[in-house]
Amino acid sequence: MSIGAPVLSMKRTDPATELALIERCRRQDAEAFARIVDAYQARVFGFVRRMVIDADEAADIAQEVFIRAYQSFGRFDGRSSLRTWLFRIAHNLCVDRARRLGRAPERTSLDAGGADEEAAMDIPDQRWDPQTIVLNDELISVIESALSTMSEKLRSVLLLHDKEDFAYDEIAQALDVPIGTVKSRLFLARAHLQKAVGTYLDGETL
Amino acid sequence: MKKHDPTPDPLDREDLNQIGGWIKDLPEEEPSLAWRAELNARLEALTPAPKRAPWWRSRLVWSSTASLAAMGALALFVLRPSPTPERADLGGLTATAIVNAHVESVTRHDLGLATATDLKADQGAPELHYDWDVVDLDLL
Repeated sequence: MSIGAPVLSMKRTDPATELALIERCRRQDAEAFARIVDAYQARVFGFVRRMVIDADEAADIAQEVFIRAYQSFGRFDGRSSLRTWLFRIAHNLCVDRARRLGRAPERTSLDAGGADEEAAMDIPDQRWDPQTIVLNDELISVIESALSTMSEKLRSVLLLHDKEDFAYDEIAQALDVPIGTVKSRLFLARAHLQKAVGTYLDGETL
Repeated sequence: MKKHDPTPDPLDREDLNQIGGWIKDLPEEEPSLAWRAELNARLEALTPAPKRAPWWRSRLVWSSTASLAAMGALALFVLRPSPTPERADLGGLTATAIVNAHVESVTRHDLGLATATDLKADQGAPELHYDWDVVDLDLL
């Protein structure tokens, strides 16, 4: 499966059009579903690609997201948005894959909650001066690397919130966790990245 | 769409928010056309083929049947035995013979002659009486 080939541009749909498409998709209208894929494929693909490191496997899972959605559109009740529903499927597939590989998503130490988490939230990093740091290729690489070492639980929250602009409650719906858990995971994920970038910057200045 | 949380939140720390900005600015990796083509093929394989109508509801069958019926009717019309021309000819001959016989009869009558034909005609059809004049004959 080729990843580097020419890409398809994302076509967004307005809410009214999307509602009409959803109704048609419930009746297994393949043409309407193709338009849903047009609208969401880039975002779903990007999310899965960062959740699953292997490119071919990520491409397969991203396809599987739409296959599952197409097969079960009749059960989509509209209580959540279509976007939330699609990302929920994507997240579940990624987590299932991690389980199949025998890797527990909670393994990253920063995923621990409780007192440690609260303590971490109170300690600002004084070395951090975001205005002076420019996102270049090297830093992008550091961030991508830090993302890949993060647990799926932290990574999914971070990507959904910071990359996909999901609100806390939308993430809670998609991942089926309380909003407080979403916030703590987001904090831990950002702290993990901050640590990784800080290490990189310290090394750079030596 | 992010909702505004009124309570102070450690996530509002500026240094951590910058992380969010970087994540947002990470380069996109979009699916390729090959990826989409493969997805389309997988979706197509899932789509049930449309049910075929019974043969007797097929438009092709009905249009063929209608065409055959129309062609048959046309063939029957064109090739049917046509008795009309013979009858017309016979009618024409009969009328001519009658007129000729009448003219001859009148002429003979006027001349005071009688023929065997007249006698036979008189005997076979005693009630028959020709009372036509030349104008009537011209109309024929």
